Parts: sequence; C-alpha cells; structure tokens
Amino acid sequence: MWDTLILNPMVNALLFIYNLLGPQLGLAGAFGLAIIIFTILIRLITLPLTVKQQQSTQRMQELQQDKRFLKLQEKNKGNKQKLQEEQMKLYRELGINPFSGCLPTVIQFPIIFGLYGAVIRALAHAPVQLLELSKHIYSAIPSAIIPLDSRFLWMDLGQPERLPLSFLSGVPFLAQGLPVLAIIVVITTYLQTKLTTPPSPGGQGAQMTQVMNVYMPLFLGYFAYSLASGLALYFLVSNLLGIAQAVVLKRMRSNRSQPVKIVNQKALPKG
Amino acid sequence: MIAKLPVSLLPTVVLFAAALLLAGCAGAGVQGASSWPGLASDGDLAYVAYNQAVYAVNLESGALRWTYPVAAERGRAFYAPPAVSADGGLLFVGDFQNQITALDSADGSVEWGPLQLSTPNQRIIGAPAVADQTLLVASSDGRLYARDASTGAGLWEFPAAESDPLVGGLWSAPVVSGDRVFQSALDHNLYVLDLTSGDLIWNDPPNLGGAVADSPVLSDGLILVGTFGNQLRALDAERGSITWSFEVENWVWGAPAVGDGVAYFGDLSGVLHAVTLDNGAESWRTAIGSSISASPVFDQERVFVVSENGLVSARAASTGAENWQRTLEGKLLSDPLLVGQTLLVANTTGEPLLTAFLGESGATRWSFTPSEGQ
Repeated sequence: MWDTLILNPMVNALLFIYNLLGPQLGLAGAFGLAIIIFTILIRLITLPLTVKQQQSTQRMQELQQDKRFLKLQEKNKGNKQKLQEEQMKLYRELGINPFSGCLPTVIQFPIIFGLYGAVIRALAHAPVQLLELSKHIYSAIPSAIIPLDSRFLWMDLGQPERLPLSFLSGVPFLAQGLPVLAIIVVITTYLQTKLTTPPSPGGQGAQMTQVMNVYMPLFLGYFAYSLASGLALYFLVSNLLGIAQAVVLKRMRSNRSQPVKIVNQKALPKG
Repeated sequence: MIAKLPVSLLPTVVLFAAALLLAGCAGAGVQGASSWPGLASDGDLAYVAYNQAVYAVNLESGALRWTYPVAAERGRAFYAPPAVSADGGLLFVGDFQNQITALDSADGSVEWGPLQLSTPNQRIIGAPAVADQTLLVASSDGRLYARDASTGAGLWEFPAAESDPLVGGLWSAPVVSGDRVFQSALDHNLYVLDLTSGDLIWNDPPNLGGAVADSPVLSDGLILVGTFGNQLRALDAERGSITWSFEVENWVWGAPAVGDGVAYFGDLSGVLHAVTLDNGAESWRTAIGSSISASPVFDQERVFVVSENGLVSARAASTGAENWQRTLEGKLLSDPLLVGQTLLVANTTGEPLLTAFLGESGATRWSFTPSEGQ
C-alpha cells in the first residue's frame, strides 16, 4: 500500500523529471533540480490545505484579541483544566481548529518518509538497493538512465551534506566539512514555523505550538545533518517556499482592509 | 495509555517517532546487508563472504574451518566473492570499506593488508581476479587496481570513470584472457586493458546501452554482457563491435553461463533464457517465477538457476525442462557455484547461509549456518 500509493509515484516522478532534465536536456545536477521541481509540485498540491491553515491561524490571532476570549481566560485563571475545556468549547463553536498550525508540518511526514525512501532508492549505491529500485520503476522510465548522477553543486545527494573547508580540517566534528544545508534548514524551519503558527493563546494549543517551534527546526536540522542531502535539499526548498507563501498570504490579508470573519458569530458566548 | 497522553506532548512524540524511523532507515549499513553473499571455492574449501565475516567451510562436511576476522570489526562488511591465488595458498578478500586483504587460505591469517583503495566510503563489490602474480581489484570508486599478489604493492590503476565515479562504479569482477583485461562498468561501457601496463586497448569503449553490474563472459570469439537495458549483448572479442543483441523483458543482472554454443541467463522478470551463440536466436525460455539476479551455472547436461523467492532449480540444458527443484527460506541473489558434483547456494536473508546440493539429484549434502559470535 505504502509503496503503491506513496513511494512508487515519488520514485518515478523523480526519475521522470531527472530523465527530462539530465539525459534529455543535458543539464548538470539534474537529480538536484528534479528534487527542487518535485518539491515545488508537492507545495502546489498542498497549497489549498496550507491556505486554509493560514486562514485558521489568522482567525486564532483575531480571537485572542477578542474581549470574550480574554474574559474566559480571566474567569478560569486558577483552573487550568476548566480553562482548556472552555477554550476548546469556544473553538468548536467558532469553527476554529487550534492545532491547525501544526497541520502543514505534520502532513509533511508522509512526504518526508516517501521522499527519503525515493531518494535513497533512486540513488542506489549498493546492489541490494539497486535491485530494490528495479522493482519500483514504471516501464515508461527508460532503464538507460540507471545509475543516476547524484551530484548537485558540491553535494552527493545520496550522502549527508558537508561543505569541505580547508581551515576546518583540524576542528572536531567539522573535519569532514561544514553542514551548511543543515544549518540553513534549522533557520528556515524556525522562520517558517514562526510565520505559520499562531502566537501563544495559552492552554494546550500554546504548549503544542511552543513545542513545535522549538523541536521542529532541531529535528529537521538533525535529519538534514545525518541523512542523505537530497532530503535536506527538499527541506530547504520546501521551507523557502513555505516562507514565501506565508509572506504573500499575510500581505494579501493586510491589503484587504476588513479583518477575517469569525464563522458562526451567533454562537459566541454573551458578555 | 495513549488517551492519557497530554496533547502538548503529541508533536514531540510524533517527531521523536519520526526521528527514530528515519534514523532506522538510515542505519541500513553493515547489519542491513547492502549486498548478497559472495561465494568461491578452491576445491577443498568453500569461502563465503557475508556481512561481517568471511567463512571457510569444508566442502566435504560443511564444517567451519576458520573465520576472518576472528571478531567482527565495526563498520567492516564483506560481500565480494573472494579469489584464490594461482597456487591456492592465498585468498583475496575485498570489503565494503574499499580495502583488499590477502589471507592464508589454510587458516585465515592475514598475509598482507588490509590495503585501502582510495576512500573508505567506496566498496569492493565484485570478486578480485588473479592472473599469475597480478591481482586485479575493481572498486565502486570507478577504478581498476592492479597489485602484486604476493605483497600487495601497487602496479597500476585504471580510472574507468575518474570524472564520475558515482555513475561509473565498477561492481563486477575483471576477466583476464591472455594479456587482456575485460572490465564492465555501470557507466554502460566495456573497458579492455593491457594486463601488464593497464593501458586502454580499445580507445573508444563500446557503449552497451545500459549499466552492467556483472562480469563479461568470453566464449567463441564473443564477449557476452548482460545489461540493465534489458539486453544480452554479444560483441566481437577483437574489435568490440556488437555482433548481436537479445532483448528481454527486464534487466539482465547476472552474467550468462555458456556451454555447448549456448548462453544461459536470467532476467529480473524471472525468465531463464537459452540463446544460441552463433546468431543470438532463442533456443528456449522458461519462467522461474521470481526475479533472477544471479548467474546460472552449467554442467553439460543441466543448467542450475536460483531466484529471489528461494527457488533452486535444475533444468535440462537442451530443453529447459525441470530436472529437480528445491525451495529455501530466504532470498537467493548470489551466483551459485558448482564444485565437482556439488552445487553451493548462498542465502541472503534466511538460514542456512550456505547449502550444498548434489547436482544430479538435488539432495541436500549439508548446510552451514554461522553460530553466534562467528
């Protein structure tokens, strides 16, 4: 099921783009370019979801400035559980999902796993991997493209990325080079998470957001540091697109003078 | 338990699980078996290179004679079939850290090495080849190395894919015929070199239309090569021009076995083919049922073939009709080996690691499974 629905389409999409750019058009670094194009496609496919999530985030932000919400906080100050229950009730009534900020990040996981499997499989460096790849290639993909050229800029996309710098040769942990991509992935993941998650409203949603803000950049940074750099390239491109998307959507909203409407106004508690 | 988990911890748990899963995927190193067992024999012992050791097994009894290294070395794995020196005294083993070592074939003690060939992130996948005092070792770094067999001293190196080792790795054993060395490569080329100097004899290596993972086979003035371009190609051994090509449904991974003017080979769609050398016409074909990555072996009357689903099959060489068939638990990806009347089959994922069958009847003679710590 996983192979049929996720892995095989991903492997073949990458191979198809690679074949077009490399063997057909003769572009250098075709597999890196294939990952970039593939990431853009994934972003486009998930765009409606992301837009919906950001609208929900906006509603959360507006709600937190609402006096009824603030009153709810004040009223249940000493009772954390009660406050959470009341907040959840209010969210439900207003049609707001307080966890929606995490959704685009969480939805990335099947893509991350799929892409990681696809990159590792496509860039088979050992017999078992290559044999495995042969089982996942659609007949429309010419087998003459095997093995793939995994070089992109200074990287081998099948290996963890390090930028070799001669002055670092004696430095512990950095003798193999500087993990440039991992560092940029941490920064861009933090920026993206900040831009796409609502500010702390209090309660469990706030804790969850804080956890995501701190751990997500570190986790993705760790993946980028230790796994195939093809995956790190995906993280980077995906983050940059996410940041650009968040900025554009924010501008579009601020250009519209009226605030985003909270649905189901009648359901708001009196007071 | 899960219901009581605080919601705020949910993303941490999800991320942690994801990290573990991905880290697990990444850890498919030595223990994950990135290749299949390599088999060789000197007539008395069978040698199996698999995972963290090379085992020498008595061919008569199946008893373990020695193991190299005595204790597993972290990060070091062996999959390339070992090669025996011309006098039988030395055994050459390549590893997945791109090192070559010469062992005393009698007891497994180190004669020289391990010698590092280029960088340790490359691998020796194909068997080394020995021609008198010259040891030839092909590496995934795209280079063919010639070493003095008795000392390991460097003689020459040939950069088959110097500019692009990632796509031009050498995964197959070099083949020596007279003063020539034939080396196939993943970069779709066949390189023909002078054994003494390492100089390229054919300046324009023939493009075979697909990657080649196994060795070429020389027979009847032809060079036979199976390719990932779904073809068995026959080249003129003198000029390198393509004499004929035989199309199949999937990749041809294993080299063909040749006998009585016929080439026998399998493809990854699971079909065993018999093709006449004269003109490349099909003699017969038979579906084995699962992908065939190993080379068949031929013993005048029969063709022995193994397939990924654990099937060991003996077929009549003249018709392809089934003589006998056995099934082992696990994946059979390695080339089987016929030593006299004994057929050796190595198992990639299951137990036993090595099984010896009687070629004539398919009866099991013995089997070998390394015990814990071996």
